Parts: sequence; C-alpha cells; structure tokens
Amino acid sequence: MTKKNILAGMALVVGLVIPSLAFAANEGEEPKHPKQGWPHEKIIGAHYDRAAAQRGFQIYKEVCHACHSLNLIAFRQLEGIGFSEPEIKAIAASFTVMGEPNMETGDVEERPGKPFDYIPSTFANPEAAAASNNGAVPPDLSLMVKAREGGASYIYSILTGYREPTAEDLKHVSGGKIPDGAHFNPYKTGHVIAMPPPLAEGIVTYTEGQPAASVEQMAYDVSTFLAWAAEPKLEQRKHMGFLIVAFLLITSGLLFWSYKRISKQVLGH
Amino acid sequence: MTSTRPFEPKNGFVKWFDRQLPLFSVMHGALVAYPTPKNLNYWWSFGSLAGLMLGVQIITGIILAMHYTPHTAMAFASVEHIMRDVNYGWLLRYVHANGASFFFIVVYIHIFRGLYYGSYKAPRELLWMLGLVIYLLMMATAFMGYVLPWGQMSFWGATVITNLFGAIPFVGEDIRTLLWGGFSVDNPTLNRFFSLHYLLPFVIAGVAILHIWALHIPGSNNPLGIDVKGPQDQIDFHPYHTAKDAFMVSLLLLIFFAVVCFAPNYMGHPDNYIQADPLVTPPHIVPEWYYLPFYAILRSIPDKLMGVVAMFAAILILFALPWLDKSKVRSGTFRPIFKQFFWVLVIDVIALGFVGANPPEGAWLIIGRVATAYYFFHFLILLPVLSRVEKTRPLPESISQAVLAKHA
Ligand code: HEC
Ligand code: HEM
Repeated sequence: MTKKNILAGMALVVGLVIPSLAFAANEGEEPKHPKQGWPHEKIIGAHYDRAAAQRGFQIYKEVCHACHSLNLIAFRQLEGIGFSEPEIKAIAASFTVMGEPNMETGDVEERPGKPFDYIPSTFANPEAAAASNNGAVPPDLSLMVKAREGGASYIYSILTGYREPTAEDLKHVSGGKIPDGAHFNPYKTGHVIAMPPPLAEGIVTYTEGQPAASVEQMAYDVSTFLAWAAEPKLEQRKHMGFLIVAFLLITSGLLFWSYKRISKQVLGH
Repeated sequence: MTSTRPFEPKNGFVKWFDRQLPLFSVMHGALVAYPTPKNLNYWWSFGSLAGLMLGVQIITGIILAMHYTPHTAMAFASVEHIMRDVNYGWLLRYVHANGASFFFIVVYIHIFRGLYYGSYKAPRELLWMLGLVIYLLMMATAFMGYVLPWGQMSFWGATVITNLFGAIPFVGEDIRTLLWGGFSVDNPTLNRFFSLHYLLPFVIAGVAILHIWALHIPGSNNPLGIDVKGPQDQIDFHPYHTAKDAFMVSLLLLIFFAVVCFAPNYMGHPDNYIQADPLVTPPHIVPEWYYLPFYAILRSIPDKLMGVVAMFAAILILFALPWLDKSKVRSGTFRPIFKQFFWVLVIDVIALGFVGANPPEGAWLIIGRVATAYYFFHFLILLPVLSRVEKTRPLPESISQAVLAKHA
C-alpha cells in the first residue's frame, strides 16, 4: 500500500460514512424502540423464550385473534414453542373450523379444529374485516415481525406506545388532528393508527406461577410469539450458522497454510 | 496460450474418449496447465468466485423451483411453504436470495479490478465486453427473480422498472405490453418472468464459457499490466491457483454463511414480507441494492425518457471503454493521476448507491446530479484526455524481474 492508496482508502471511508449519517438523520422521525435485545436476536445461544411465547399465544388467541388472522400457522406447529401433543389437541379443539364436504350430502359443516388445521380467521374476507374495523383491514400477523423495520421491538412499541397526543405531537400528524375512530401512536408511520389500543391491565388472566399480566408483560409475550410465528426456523438456523462458521474458520486457516506452502514450493516465496 | 504441460493421460478410457472428443484435454488446459502470470494478487480470484456463485444460484434455484408456484394467488404462500415446511427450505431460499447479492458483490469487485488494472485494453476488449454481457444478463435475471416471491417490493419494483420501457418513443408501449403479457403487472407477467428467470442463468453460463475462452487466448492480465515475456514470467494454474482459489472460496463462504445464518434479511426489504397488493403503493419503492447507482442516475435526470437513456448509457458506455482510454500503460499502478481518479470513481458510484436508496429530494437530488455528471465526465472526458496527457511511471523490465526485486 502506498501513501496515496491509504489516502484513497480514507476518502472511501469518508464517502461511505457521511451519506449513512445523513441517512440516519433522515429517519429520526419515529422515536427509538424502548424494548431492545430479545433472546432470539442473540448471535450465540439464540432462542425463543418458550414460556413467553406460550403466554403470547394466549394473548393472540384471546385478544388479537378477534381482528387479526395468522394464516401461516397450523396448530401442529405450536409444538415449536413447547406445547405438548395433548395441549395442541385441546388448543385446536377450542377453535371452530370449516370441515370437509359431507360424503353423502356434500354439505360443508363446521367442526372443532384438529392439529393439522391452520388457525382459522375470524372474518370470511378482508371486506368483512374492514366493515368491523372502521374501514381498516387488520393485517395478517404471521409475518408482521419480518415485515416491519425493528422486528419484535416494533410490535412491542406499537402495543405499548399509545398515549394522548400533545400539541407538539399533533404538528407531525397530517391534517393536525387524529381522525375519528383512529388513535395516536408515535411508532406508526404517520403517527395515526386505526387499531384501538388492544392491551389493557386485566384483559387476560395468566395461569398460576406466571408473571402478572401488565401491559408491558403482555406486549413482550405476544411480540415473542409473533417473532416465532414469522421465523420458526430461526433457532435451527443460528445454531447451524455457528457450526458452519466455526468449520469454515478452521478450513480457511488450513487452506491458507496449504496455499502458502505450495507458493513456497512453486514460486519460492 | 499454449500449455507448458502437455496432456498425457494414463487411463485407457480417458485416452479413448479424448481422441474422439478432447474434453479432458480442454479441461486440463483450462484448470491444470493454464499458464498464468506469476504476480497475480488476490483480486484475481474473484473470477473463480463469480463462477462459484453462479453454480450456487443454479443449484439452489433448481431445487427452489421444485417447490415454488408461479401464480399470483399462490407464489407468496409457496415461498413461505418453502421457508416453513420444506426440509432445509429456509436454507435454500436464504442462500439463493443472499447468493444473488454476493454474486453481485463478487462481480462488482471483479469489474473494478478490471478498471484499475486496465484489463479491458487490447488484446482483451472482447473478453471485457463478454463480461459486460454477463453483467447485463445478471441484472435481468436478478430483477425477474426478485419478482417471484410476489411481495410488495416485487410487485412495485416490477411496475416501476417495466414502466420505464414505456418511455421509449414509438415502440415503448408495445414493449411494455409484451413484458407484462397484458395491461399491468399481473399473473402473465409472473409466469413469463419465472420462465425467463429459469432460462437466463444458463445463458449466463454459456457466455461465461465464451468469456473464459476469450481469456485463454491472450492469457490473464496482471497487476503490472505488462505482457508476459516467456515461461520465466509464468506459473501453471495447478497447483498454485487451485490452492489460492480454494482458500478464497473458503473465505467467501465464511462471510456468505455468516450473513445467511445470522442476518439473512439484512440486504432485503421488510416490505417484501407483505404480499403484493396492487391497491396499496409502498411509501418508498426501492430496488435491490445492486441496482441503486443506476436507479440514482435514472432519477437525477428530470425527463423520464432522458433518465432511461442515461441509465442505460451508464452501462453501455463501459463497452466503449477500451477505445475511450487510449493509454498504452494498462495498470493503474503506473498511472499516478488515473489512480487517484479511479478512487474518485469508486466513491462516486458508492455515493450514487446511497442516493438511489433515498427519496430524490433536497440534498440527495443535488448529490445525485453531481455524481451522475461526474460518472459520465469520468468516462467520456477525463479518461480520453488523461490517456493523452498523463506522464506514466516507468514500467518494469519484466514480470519475473519485478517479482525478484520485490522478494529480494
Ligand atoms: C379491534 C380490532 C383489533 C384488535 C383486537 C387488534 N388489532 Fe391490531 N390492528 C387492527 C387494525 C384495524 C389494524 C390496522 C391499523 C392501520 O393500518 O392503521 C391493526 C394493525 C396492527 C399492526 C400493524 C401496525 C402497522 O405497523 O401497520 C400490528 C403489529 C397489530 N395490529 C398487532 C396487534 C396485536 C399484537 C394485537 C393483540 C394484542 C392486536 N393487534 C389486536 C385491529 C385490531
Ligand atoms: C444468475 C443466477 C441467479 C440469480 C442472480 C437469481 C436471483 C434471484 C433473486 C434475487 C430471487 C429473489 C429472492 C427472494 O428475495 O426471495 C430469486 C428467486 C427465485 N429463483 Fe433465482 N436466481 C438465479 C438463478 C436461478 C435458477 C437457475 C433458478 C432455477 C429455476 C432459480 C429459481 C428461483 C426461484 C424458484 C425463485 C423464487 C423463490 C424465492 O423467492 O426464494 N433462480 N432468484
């Protein structure tokens, strides 16, 4: 490396850093997420907090399911957050799904869910969902954690971020006021959200031995559950990644050594 | 380049086969006895790495296609089926999606290597142009691949880019209808994009073979940019380069799998995890990172047609590079002024990338226009003038002499 190359390299770094700073400054519109550092976001030993995910499923079932579908999840997959087979059977049976056509009459009847069924949605179609929600369609939650910048932290912020807007807040809202039936939430783009605050103290009862169902605790639990729903293979992926990287580190070391040896033999240096 | 090591097989079958079809001698000539300059540095490994990434994309792609459904109603769900139900489907899909990015990273390094060391100059103009053809085909392939998962960015990216063709006078509308297979991006579009996305990588493989063929006629350029004078300047591909490339492959895979396993969505866009919805336009439509510099050039021109022209010109201009840069000295090492401006170009292209990622307003618009102007200035004015007036540094006598001097 000559001195000029080093100068050029420095210029390159400056060229990279300045635009990214400007980029960061540009994005400072929504506040920082209060909850950071989830067990599943770790690099080594990443895992979903099973107990939280199970409580989160309870929240989803008892609260969010009234409005939001979870189309990509079948009951059998709940095994992934540690539910046992009998538990899964019982959970599935607590939902009503459309069955198969009757062999004689062809009629389709409702029946209790079975483990292979997918979680049924409350509304028959988006139009029905919009009709019950002031014209806004509650989006499917299966991939929500991957579909928003910030992931699980974003969900947590949305659920805990509701408050009365100050005059200063309203300056950042288009039109200067919150439309009827909508709510202020600083984490949502545009700061206006059609979803009413879904969580409130005492809305669900956790079983004996679980933490108290505060809004923060419930938000943490359901965010954990939704993170799992969006990326059920995350644990497998990160554990495998650790082995692959370790293997390739050693292989690269050996290959470098063998390259240097061959170079000595055939080139003399 | 004639091989220094003749092919003398011992095996009877190989002898019989090679007499009738000299496949083994060709492979031997390309991978074992191919004589390379002694002084190649690590940047010369990126050609092999690009070949590796093409192989990775083709293999993972074919398996993905066994599970993927090219229909607007099912494509998004079929990709999630791959992610959740297919054994190691998540691995296949993340390797394929990030593989496209790494393919571009490797190819960009490969191209800038060529720009710095003057590898585009005689006698390698055709080799350079075949490389550019591969690059164009890659852009088309990756663009159509990104449409397949049928997320919001797939749909809206496809809409924005195909609409550009509509700006072409007279035939634009027809071309656009042909791309769409109808009057908007819809199921016929997805079907033809899938078909072409399957086809083009094999076309790339074909052009890559021509590219390597064209390489083996004059042989590799080298960091000094001077011609090989005789066998003392050279070394056989095997075992020296096989060992070196094996190390580089391992290093690339290390970084690649670290990204695939720990940050597989880092280079993606969250909106692509929302199923395509023709009625909801995302606030910022951004293409994949590897197109951003060209997207920035497109948007820095106020007129749509001229923007499209500038964007394509930015790539096509590279085809004329061997004739724009007339300097007899190939390597930037011996061109003190060229070298500085090479780095200015690198920064310029990176800056264009950032501009492309941001909305075309305020400071971004101004930076974009300046950077676009510089890009064309660099190739159309600076290089032709520089190659006439620059006082180059003295070239070494020969490669072997320079190598000896360095390791004395
Ligand atoms: C009364 C119906 C209702 C309930 C109950 C409800 N939501 Fe919503 N939710 C909505 C609606 C409507 C929207 C669309 C909001 C919009 O687009 O402004 C929404 C949007 C969302 C979003 C997306 C926000 C964004 O960035 O676009 C998330 C995340 C979400 N809900 C999570 C939840 C969770 C978790 C629960 C359960 C604790 C829940 N919701 C319960 C109606 C509901
Ligand atoms: C030049 C080589 C290739 C490149 C650069 C490339 C690029 C891409 C890209 C960028 C995507 C979108 C990934 C995502 O975001 O999900 C994709 C998807 C896909 N590609 Fe390729 N691809 C290549 C070769 C192939 C081949 C040979 C096949 C074989 C049929 C193939 C089949 C698919 C399929 C089925 C998908 C949809 C599944 C998915 O989205 O993950 N690809 N490709």
